[in-house]
Amino acid sequence: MSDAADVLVIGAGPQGLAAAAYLARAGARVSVLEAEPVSGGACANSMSVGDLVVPAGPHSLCALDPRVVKELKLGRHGLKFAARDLALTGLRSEGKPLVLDRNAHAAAHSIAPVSQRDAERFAGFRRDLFVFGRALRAMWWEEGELGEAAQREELRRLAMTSAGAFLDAAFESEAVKAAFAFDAMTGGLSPSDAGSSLLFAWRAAQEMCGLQGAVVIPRGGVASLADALVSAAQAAGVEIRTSVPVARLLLSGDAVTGVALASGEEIAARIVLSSLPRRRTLLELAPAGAAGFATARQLRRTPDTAEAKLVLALKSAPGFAASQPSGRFIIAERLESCIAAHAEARAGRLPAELALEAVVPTLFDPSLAPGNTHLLSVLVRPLPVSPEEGWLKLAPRLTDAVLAILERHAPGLKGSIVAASVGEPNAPERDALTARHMLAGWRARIATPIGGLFLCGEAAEPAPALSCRAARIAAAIAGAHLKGEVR
Amino acid sequence: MRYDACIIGAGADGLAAAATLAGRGLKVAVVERDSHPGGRCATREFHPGFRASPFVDELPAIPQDIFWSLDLARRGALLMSAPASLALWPGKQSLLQPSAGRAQALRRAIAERVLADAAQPPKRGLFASAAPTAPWPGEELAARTLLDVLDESSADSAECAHLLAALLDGQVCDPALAGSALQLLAGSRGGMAAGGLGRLGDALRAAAEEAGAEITCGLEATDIKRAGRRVAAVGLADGSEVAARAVISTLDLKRTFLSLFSWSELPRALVDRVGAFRPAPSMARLLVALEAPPDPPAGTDPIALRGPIHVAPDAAALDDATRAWRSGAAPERPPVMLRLVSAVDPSLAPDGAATLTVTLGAIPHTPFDGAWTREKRDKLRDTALAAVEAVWPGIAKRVLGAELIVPPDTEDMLGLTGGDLSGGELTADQMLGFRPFVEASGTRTPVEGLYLAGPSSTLGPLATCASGVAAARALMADFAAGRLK
Repeated sequence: MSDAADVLVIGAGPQGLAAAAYLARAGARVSVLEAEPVSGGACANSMSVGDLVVPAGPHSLCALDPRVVKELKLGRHGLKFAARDLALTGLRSEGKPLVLDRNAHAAAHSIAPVSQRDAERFAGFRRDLFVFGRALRAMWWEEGELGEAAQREELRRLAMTSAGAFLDAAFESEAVKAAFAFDAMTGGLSPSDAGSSLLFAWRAAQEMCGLQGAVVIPRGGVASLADALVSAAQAAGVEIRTSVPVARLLLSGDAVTGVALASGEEIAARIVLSSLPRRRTLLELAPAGAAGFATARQLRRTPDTAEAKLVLALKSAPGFAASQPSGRFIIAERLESCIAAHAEARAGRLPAELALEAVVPTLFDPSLAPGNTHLLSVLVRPLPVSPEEGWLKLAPRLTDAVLAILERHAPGLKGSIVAASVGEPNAPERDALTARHMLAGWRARIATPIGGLFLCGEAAEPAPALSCRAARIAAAIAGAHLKGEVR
Repeated sequence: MRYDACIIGAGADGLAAAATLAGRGLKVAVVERDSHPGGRCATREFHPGFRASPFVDELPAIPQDIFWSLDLARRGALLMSAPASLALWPGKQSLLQPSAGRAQALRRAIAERVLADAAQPPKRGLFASAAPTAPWPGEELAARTLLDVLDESSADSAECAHLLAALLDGQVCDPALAGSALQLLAGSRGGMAAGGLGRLGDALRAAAEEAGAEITCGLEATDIKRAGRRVAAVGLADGSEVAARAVISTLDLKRTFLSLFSWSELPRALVDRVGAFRPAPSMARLLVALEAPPDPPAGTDPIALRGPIHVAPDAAALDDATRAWRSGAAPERPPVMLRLVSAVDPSLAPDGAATLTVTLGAIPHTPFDGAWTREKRDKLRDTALAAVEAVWPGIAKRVLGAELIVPPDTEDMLGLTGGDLSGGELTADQMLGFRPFVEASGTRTPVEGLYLAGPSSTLGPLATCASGVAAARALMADFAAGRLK
């Protein structure tokens, strides 16, 4: 054994770094162990597009906990925002795009040509969702419960309701429903999975830059969040070790005593936080049987579908971004086609119709690319988790399919491509998302059957997104263990 | 004259409600638009000498206590126990005994809960904020997928596909979706009625009439009239009115609220809830007259022909069929279930001949390219007969006649929105406390004096007759509490 630490954090992604920073600020000796040569996890600039590099993970932020930004002083460590509120913009094959702006009048004005009734209803729909979303912060921001009985009933209703049924009840026009369809497929869910409507409430519970439900892009790209967290963690005294893949957890009885690295080195620690998915932590790093038979069986489930990221470097910004630069562009034909696509992807095939979310970060932050080059970052859902033909054969077909869709909405786009790159989906490693998981308490999501081992990554969040809330709470729980308050 | 209760629809649920109320001395009128009471409890001659139940061969089971309290056995309803179901693949077969088990216990617990709620005076008024309710039995199934549950109880994928086919029985459902496990709660097969389901309908009619209910057939209810907020009368197609203190509707949810009321007089929220309710019609039937009964397929126990025969059930094919259904296309390989109904009940076919029913699943209500034309019907008929031919090669020569029933036919004949026999898709947000919607779960509706029984009500898809009895009990409890003078 070497270098005994109080706490070891596995994975130097934003969540692992945030947890480490919190613990170090509370006085613990913390080491972060990262398998890759650079820290930052999915937010590190690791995907090359021609001469440029971008993160393989998210291209925008929708859920980062504002308290983490404040408490860890991320602003002082370099986190600034380039775009503060990307409006959900549904692109349509015919007619003007649907801009669901924060300004209720603008949104209604944009919806009116599609459906007068939906235009009238939109403001009320969002208001109700935001009011409910704020109430939900009691359980999704803190370790609490919903205050009012009526709200608990509403939550129960949403847990039973599919996103499709939820949207059908609220809107009549396909265009409006389709604009929301992309978000309903978060975590590999189908818009007709019972409980998928919770994803809308979860999004409404978020706050970015002081705006409820906003989607933002940091200056310098999402990688700058990772840089700020590295800086904050190091300032707090965290030791970050890169290129040290963890091979297994060391246990004594039912409690963790440290980790063994792939190099053979063993490090002792009283607490281990893992920012990896629950399945990888418990089935791959922990000794066989440590998770328990039933848990292991449950954990084997992977998400039903995956998502991939495609990034293009373009000579000029795509046409649809010219009229509405601060948009989060959703391309989905119909809600029904998303449901059918999900079933197709689940069967291992590339769906005929795909749903896309596109952003053009260079419109807000020209420093991301030299000269007049623009970046178009596209998330694609739903994709097969383990394609019949294998990822290597699927990737070029996927690229062609996505480019064909983009070309329809931005004629001439293909001609302006400088470089293109597509990232492999990481769904096979992720945990499956269920309504039950979203509604379980923080402790149930963070704790493991192994004493002293906690999850602090995306796996412990209610829905997969970069929020660092699990890290903040896991750090508090770990801190209490260190002080001996919890036995 | 003013009745205590007017019941719209003389199906099993309506007749059970009528018998229950009239048995307690209430004055009850039943109005039925068809010329004959019974609803889906019907048996009809579809080819000279050949009879079959056009909509289903078996209904969900009637709870034992209701069956005996209505004295249905003495009135001629004889339900034969549900036989094992057979699955036939090329060169392979398996037999599956109907299992009772946990789902039945859950259904019983749910029925008890609804009946107990019915006996309590209502807690909430018109669209008051929903009071918290205790979890429903079986609610935990909403978090699971049907495949997940069936996987646990089946040895291999073929058995799983068989279980799935036997459970869905022609209903459409994507078993890999969260919440699909609630399909387990849908009523189990209650066995075929001797002499056809029509005999059960007759027994229920006798029970209602002997108790003193007045049944008027051939007259459609067109609207529900209200005095203030409370129901006052049911308007009929001939312009007359049945004055009543309370109304039980056994029509499906959409017909009840959207065709019996003018929308402007209902609260907007109620119209919205009803509008959002989703039927999922997906079943077509082919009634086939055969000049001679087919031989059992090689290696099959003749006794196995008495039950449902699933033709090559396959999870991937079901998946494709479900997707085709979603996009409004008739699938190439729909799930097919055959029943040689005359093997169980020889009275359904002339001597030496046989009656076969073919149930096709995942058939859209209206094909994406327009209504059911003659060509499309012929194509579907050929699909069905091809499936029969796969089981019994050469059977086509024995077919004397056949009648195809697609969802719009069911809709016309039964007056059921979309022709969806389950009265609304069985998804988590349309089951248990959310069926048909939160404020109307159980049997009371937001309209004072109107009770909902029938397929769209909470108990509708779970059991036969039970929703009618629940509505009757709620009505009596409200009378006793002096709420409906």
